[in-house]
Order: sequence, then C-alpha cells, then structure tokens
Amino acid sequence: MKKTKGSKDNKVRYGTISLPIPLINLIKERIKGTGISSVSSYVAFVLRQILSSEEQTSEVLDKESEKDVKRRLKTLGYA
Amino acid sequence: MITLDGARVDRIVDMDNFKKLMKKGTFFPQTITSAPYTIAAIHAIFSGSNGNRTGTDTYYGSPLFKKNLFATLPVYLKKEGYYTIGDFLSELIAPKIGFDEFLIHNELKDNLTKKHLHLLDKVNKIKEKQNFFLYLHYSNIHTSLLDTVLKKYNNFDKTYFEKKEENSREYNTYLRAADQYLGKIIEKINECDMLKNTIVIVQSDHGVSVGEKIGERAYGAFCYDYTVKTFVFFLQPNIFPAKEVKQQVRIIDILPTILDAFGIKESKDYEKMDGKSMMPLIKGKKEDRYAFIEAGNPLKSKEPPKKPNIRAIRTSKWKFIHNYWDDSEELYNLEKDLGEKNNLIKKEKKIVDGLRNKLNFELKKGLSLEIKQLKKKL
Repeated sequence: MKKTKGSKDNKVRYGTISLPIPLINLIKERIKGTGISSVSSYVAFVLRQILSSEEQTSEVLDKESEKDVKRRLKTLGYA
Repeated sequence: MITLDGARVDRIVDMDNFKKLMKKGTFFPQTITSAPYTIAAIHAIFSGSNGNRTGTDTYYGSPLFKKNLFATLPVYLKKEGYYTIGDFLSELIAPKIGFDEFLIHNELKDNLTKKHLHLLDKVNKIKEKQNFFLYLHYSNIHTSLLDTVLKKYNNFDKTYFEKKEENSREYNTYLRAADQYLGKIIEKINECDMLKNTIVIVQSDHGVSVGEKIGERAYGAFCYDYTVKTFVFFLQPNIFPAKEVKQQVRIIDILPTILDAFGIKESKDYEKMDGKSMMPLIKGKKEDRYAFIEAGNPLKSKEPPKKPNIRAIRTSKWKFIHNYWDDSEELYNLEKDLGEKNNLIKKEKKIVDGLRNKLNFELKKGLSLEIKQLKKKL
C-alpha cells in the first residue's frame, strides 16, 4: 500500500489500495443517488461498518455479562 | 442424546460397555470436533454449524450464539411436536432455545447416574402421549479433572508433563466410570423398551490430553488429535445398521444426520448448516469431508482468549494448523505420524496451499455472514 501525502488541512493520512476496474464500476453504479461522493468514501464506509460490527460482536457481551460468564467459567475450571 | 464430555475415542473403544454397544449400531470413530472444548463443541453439535458463523467460537461465546440465524436440534424437534428436555453441566454449554426444560446439574454434588435414570423414567411416561428429545450431559470426567488437573497444574507445569503414564492411568479410571454410567443408561433404555422407536446417540465433544504436548494439560489450547478426534454412535436397529464407518466426519454432521433420519427438511428460515448428513456414508458412499477446527490458547494467561487464536483444517490424511499468536504453521501426515511430531510445513508446499485455501474459505464463510447482516443495515 503506497502512502500519499495528506492535504495540509487533513489530520488523517490516506493510503492507496488497488481494486479491479469492474469492481470499481460496480461500486460507481451502487453509489449513484446515495449521497456518497466517491468509490473511496463508499469502500471506507463499508469497511468501517464491518470492522466496528466485529468489535461489537465481542462488545455485545457487556461488562456485567462478561463478569457473569467469567464467574461461571471459573467454576468450571477454565479461568 | 448422551454426551460423554471428554471421552477419548482411542480409549472408549476398549471399555466393556461401549465395546458391546458398538456392535449394535453405527459407529463413527473419526468424528472431528469443531472446537476441542465443550462450550463451542456442543453449540456446534446443536446447530450443525461451526462457531465462526454461529458466534460461539470462544469460551465466552455462549451468550453470543446467533439463535435467530441458526436453528438448533431442539428447535427443529419442538416444531415437530416433541417434548424437549436436557440436563447440562452449565447454562453456558448449549443454547436454551427450543427446550421445554433446560436443567442444570451440580457436578460436585449430584449423582448423575441417579439423576439421568430418573429422567429416563420421566420421558418413558411422556412417550405414551408425545415424542420426546432427551439430552444427557455426562460431566464426571470433567469433574474428576477439575481438581486433579485443571486447578492443580497450568499448561506448562513440568511435574504434569513428566508423569504421562500416571496421567493416563488416572484418565482411564475416569473413563471406566463413564463407561459404567453408559452401561446403566443403556440398561434402563432396554428396560423401558425404548429402542422400538427411539434413536440413541452417544458422542463425545472432545478428547483430553494426558500430557502428550507441553502447553496443553487438558484441552482447548491446541488442535492435536488427542483432543479433536472424537466419536459419535447411533443406535436404532431400524435405521442405523451395525457397522463402523471409518471415513472422517464432523460433529457438525450430527444434526443433519438426525434430520435426515427423521425426514425433516432443513429450514429455509435460517442460515444453511455447515454440516451434512452422514446417511450417504452409512449407505456406502465414499467421501472425505474436511474439518474446520478453532481453539483458544490462553498462552501464559490464566483466562481463555476472547477470540480464537489457533485454527486447523483436518482431512483423513493431513492436519494443517495455523497458530495466530506467532504466525507459525504446522503440517502433519496423520497416516504416518499419529503423534503429530514431524512438522512437514516446509516440505509439502502443494498440500499446505490446498489446506490453507480451505481454511481461508471457511473464514470467508464467517465473514460473508457478517457482511450479509451488514447489508441489511446499509
């Protein structure tokens, strides 16, 4: 992944990834009329959703439930 | 359905009652678990699917089981009008959904033989008016290991790994007790004349180490055969012939087999199961089904990890393992190297590539489900 310079106004730095042209074209069709301005924005949006849903999967177990599970696991000899 | 929690297939076959039973039904001695620890394994048996899709892929995964996406055995049977009752070691062991009665025993205080014989009496009365599904979890092997191994040693204690023979003898006494329990259960089933119209399933969720590999004193840390290779046995003379099917199958194949035996179609209201019916193999079809296995090695911690950190693909001949904590890989020829001592990872590139592709395919299945759920939101 190449690193490119971010704009002076942006604190976030951006890199470049490659996608096959047919996929890019599909995405362009997909985002028409959605308010999403570019293929990059759409890909970043989808990936953020996926990554945050993966984190949520482990956070769905809230602290109280996690304590409860750990207590039961300890009784079973696993913690 | 009876689970002998922690029963090793290489040793149960020498136990008196199981040896007698084996000759009366269909025995699968090469049944590979989805995860070498009870919580994930039982969820896989009940759902017919691997934990990376169902959500139960770690010791913490029980509350995360995707019960709205994966139908379980009791859910199917309840829809068919069955009365469903199960006795478990803990609430964490299996999804509660579909059970009319979800009982929990106290492994330190309850006499499991007595309790389970009583439950058999109960369903024997129920069967006069209604079909039943009874699940019995025999947890006494685990109970015996609790003080003698799990709480006494860690995964690196030299004192444990230097006394393999003693560990082995002790384990065999626990297994003999399990075999005696099994004998009493089968005796009661025969007394109640249940075999006329009942399928009896005897299975194990995982095996147990007796000190074969430093780093795993019991189970759940690695993916070697002494914990991941297990068994399932079906007893019902009208459906399951007396034979041994040596081909590799998976614990996720148990639910589809039961549905197939009952003529129940897989529901389209839920995600497709990973498992497949074993009935074609019983009828003689030759097929090598690979197994996808996940575990959570605690490494130096006292607690299991929150995500799986070791995965494997097993065929009848090969085992490929990826250890995520240090990105190391292992490959074993299971026909020539039963102890999994000779790592061939640098010698068999084609085999490794093929198995790694299978592993990635399974991981993508899990990810695809996440994305599918996401698409509904986007």
